[in-house]
Amino acid sequence: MAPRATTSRNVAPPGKALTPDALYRAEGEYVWNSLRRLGVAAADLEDLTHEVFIVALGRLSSYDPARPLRPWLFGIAARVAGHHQRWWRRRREVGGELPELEDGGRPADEELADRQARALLVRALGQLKLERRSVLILHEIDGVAVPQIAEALGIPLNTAYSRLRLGRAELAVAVRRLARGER
Amino acid sequence: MTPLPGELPGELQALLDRERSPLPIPDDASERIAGQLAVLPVVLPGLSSPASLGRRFALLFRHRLTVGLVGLGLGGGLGARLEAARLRPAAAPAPAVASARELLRPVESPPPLFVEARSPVAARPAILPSPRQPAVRRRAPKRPPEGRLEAAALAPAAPPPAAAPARPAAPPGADSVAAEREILEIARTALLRRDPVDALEALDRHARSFPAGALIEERESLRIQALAVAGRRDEALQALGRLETEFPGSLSLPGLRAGLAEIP
Repeated sequence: MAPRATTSRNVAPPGKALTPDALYRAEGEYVWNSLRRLGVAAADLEDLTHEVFIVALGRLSSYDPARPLRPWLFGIAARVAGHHQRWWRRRREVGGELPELEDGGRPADEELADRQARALLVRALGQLKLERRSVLILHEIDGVAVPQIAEALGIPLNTAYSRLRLGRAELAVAVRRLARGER
Repeated sequence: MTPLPGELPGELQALLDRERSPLPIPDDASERIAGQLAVLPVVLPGLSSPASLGRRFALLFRHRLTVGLVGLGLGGGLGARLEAARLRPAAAPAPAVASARELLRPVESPPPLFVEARSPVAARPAILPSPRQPAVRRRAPKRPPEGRLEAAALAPAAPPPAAAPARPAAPPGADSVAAEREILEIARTALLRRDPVDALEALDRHARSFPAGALIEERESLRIQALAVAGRRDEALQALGRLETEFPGSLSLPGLRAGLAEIP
């Protein structure tokens, strides 16, 4: 597929003040959806979206305004989601339950198919390792070129390609399995 | 871009295509996030060195989470203020909270260094009709309380006035914690109005009523803020010292230290 051009909004040029809420207005929805795609449960999306922006604002000095903003934000979101999921995994090991993936607050009538399709994809993505999931989301959904992904996630280019290749194969298997009703 | 071998199955490609259109953030959640972020200072990408600032606010955010986890709905330190800012009436003409640091600025001092970061939802109707309404957590806490409140049974940092009758200390239950929270909420909203007199009065009332309460750390954090707003910097520093001694792990400490350091 031909990836779409990465959206890189000029939220704040170098040297120009950036208000936290301006950053949120521009990229809040992107971060929210990225966390959702990474498998963060609906109930945790709000807190983790906030956390991503807190971390992002703290690391803004390391952000190069000449680079696209979204892959950089995604890298932070992936790390935040990873910490969160590791925490839930530990909970599960001591008897806790993983929360349900995917959101459930939307009306089920006309949007049911959309919701089910999205839920299926997110569940399938959830069966991949976070590292591969991240590359796959960035490339296949956000349309980010692999070299930019490698840069944003701080991984070698070949590793990014490898993760994408393996991730695509695993995702296809996971989707087929889930579509057949298997877990 | 280097082409990749293999085609995605049509079914998977359709799912990915569908997922490219983002889902909107629910309005109420968006409003809360924007409100929380609106109290953070302005930063300069690529020029400033806001790493420490970010760590501080990250700590404060975790504080907010921790407080929420134990069902208090009210945080000490700046965590409480972030929560407060989230709940403040959005249509207020001049928000009491401009930045986290400004909250510690004495009433008569010059304007803050930081520009107010206005919430994008400022023109929307207020979430709550009155700032005096108690904070309401949006969902049940999930994470463990991390043992923070183990220290809550310590003696109060600021002893109540001698004339105040000390009630017998009872183990804090749900009811008493709710009662404590109610008093601290009054102090917190008074601080948002930049009314340190009312705030300190409520805090003293809490100290008299709950000498071994569960929310002592939060109370003393609010006391430091109230003293700072009242311009009583020395007393605020003394209270900070007591908080550091009795609650060395308090996550409100970094923000309080930094805020007080900026008051001349």
